[in-house]
Amino acid sequence: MKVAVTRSGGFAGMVRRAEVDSADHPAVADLIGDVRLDEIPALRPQPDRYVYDIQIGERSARVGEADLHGPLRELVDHVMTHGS
Amino acid sequence: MVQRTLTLDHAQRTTRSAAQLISEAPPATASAAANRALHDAAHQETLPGRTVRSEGGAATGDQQVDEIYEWLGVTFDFYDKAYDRNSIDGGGLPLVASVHYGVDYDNAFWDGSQMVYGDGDQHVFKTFTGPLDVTGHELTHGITQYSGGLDYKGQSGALNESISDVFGSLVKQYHLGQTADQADWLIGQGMFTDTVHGVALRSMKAPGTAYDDPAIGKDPQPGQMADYLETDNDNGGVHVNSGIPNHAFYLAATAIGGHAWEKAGRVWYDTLTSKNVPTGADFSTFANMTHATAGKLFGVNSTESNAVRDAWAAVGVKVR
Repeated sequence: MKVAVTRSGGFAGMVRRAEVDSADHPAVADLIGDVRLDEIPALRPQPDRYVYDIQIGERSARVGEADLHGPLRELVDHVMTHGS
Repeated sequence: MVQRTLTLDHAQRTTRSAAQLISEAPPATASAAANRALHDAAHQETLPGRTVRSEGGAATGDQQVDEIYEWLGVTFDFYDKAYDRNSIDGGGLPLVASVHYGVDYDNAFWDGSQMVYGDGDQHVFKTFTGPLDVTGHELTHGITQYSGGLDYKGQSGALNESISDVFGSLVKQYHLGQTADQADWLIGQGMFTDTVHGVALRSMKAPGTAYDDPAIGKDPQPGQMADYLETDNDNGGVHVNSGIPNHAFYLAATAIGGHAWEKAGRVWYDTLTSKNVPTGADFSTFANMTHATAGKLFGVNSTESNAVRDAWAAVGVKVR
C-alpha cells in the first residue's frame, strides 16, 4: 500500500514530499494498523508550524504539527526519513 | 555589532542612573526593559526546557542561547525605540525562548506564548538563531496576536506572514543603521549551508529570486497579485503569497526613502495595532487601511500617502 506524506509550512515555507510502499517497510505496515486517521482533530493553523498531509492507500488526512503524536508521528517520521 | 549595541545600552543605563541620583527624583515614566528567559530544550519537544540564562545573566558559551539572548534584546529595543512599545503585549511581557528544540529541526516558531528554535539539519539549514530577522519575525507573530490576530490561512494568513517579514527586516535594518536603499530586504540571509544555491529564504525586493537549488527547488514567491498561488499546502500558501504584500512594503519604503521603520514601518505598525484590522482581512482591506493610516499620519495626498497607494497598485492591489 502506498503511504505518502507531504509536509508544508514552517518558517521556510518549503514543501517536502516522501512516499513508501508498506510492502517494503514492515515498520510502516505495522504502524498503519495503529493509526486512526478519523480521530485526528481538525487543523488549527498556527504561525510557522508544519502542516502534514498524510495518505494511506485511499485514505487521507491533514494534521498540524502540534497534533502529530503516537503511531502517526512514528509513521510520518519513518516515511520522511526512508521514503523517496 | 552586537557588542556596539550592548555598550550603548550600558552607557545609556549608566547615564540614566547617574541623572536619577543627582536629581533625586523618579523618572516621569519607568523606562522599558527587556525581561528575557532562555531555555534549552535539549533536543526534546517539551517546552520550555531547562532555564539556562535569565535577564542580566552572563553569557553561557552556548552560541544559540547567547545569540537569541542578544536578538531578543535588539528586537525589544527596536519596538521600544521605534514605536514606544514595551514588549510583545505592550505591557512588558517576558521574552521566553527555547533553543535546541527537537532533532535536526528545520524551523523556528512562536507558539502563542514563547519563541522556539531548532538547530537545523546542517545539510540545508545551518542555523535558525544566527539571523536577527528570524527572531524579529517570530516575535512579531506575538505582536500580531496581541493586536487582535490575523487568521492564519489564505490572504489574511499571508498578511500575518508578511507583517512578520516586514518587521523582521526592519529590526535588522534598525540594528545595522541602514536606510531603505542600503538594506538587503532579505529574510533568512545566512541560514543556508554553503551547499545550497541561494542567498536567503525570501526577498522582499525581488520575490521569487532568493534561492534556486537542485535539491530544494526554486523560491516560489510571487510579487504580483496576478501570480497569487492557490494551493492547499501551508494553510493556503501563507509563506508564498506573503511575497505580494512584502513587495508592496518594499516599494513604499524605498519610494519614501530614509530609515524604513520611521515612516513606512510606522504606517504598517499603526495599522496593525489599531485593532481595527479584521481577523480575516484580505490584501485589499489591509492596503486600504495602510493608505488611510498614511493619510492620517502624513496628510492626504502627502508623498508618503501616495507612495503607499502606488506601492499597492504596483503589486496589483488597488487602493480605493
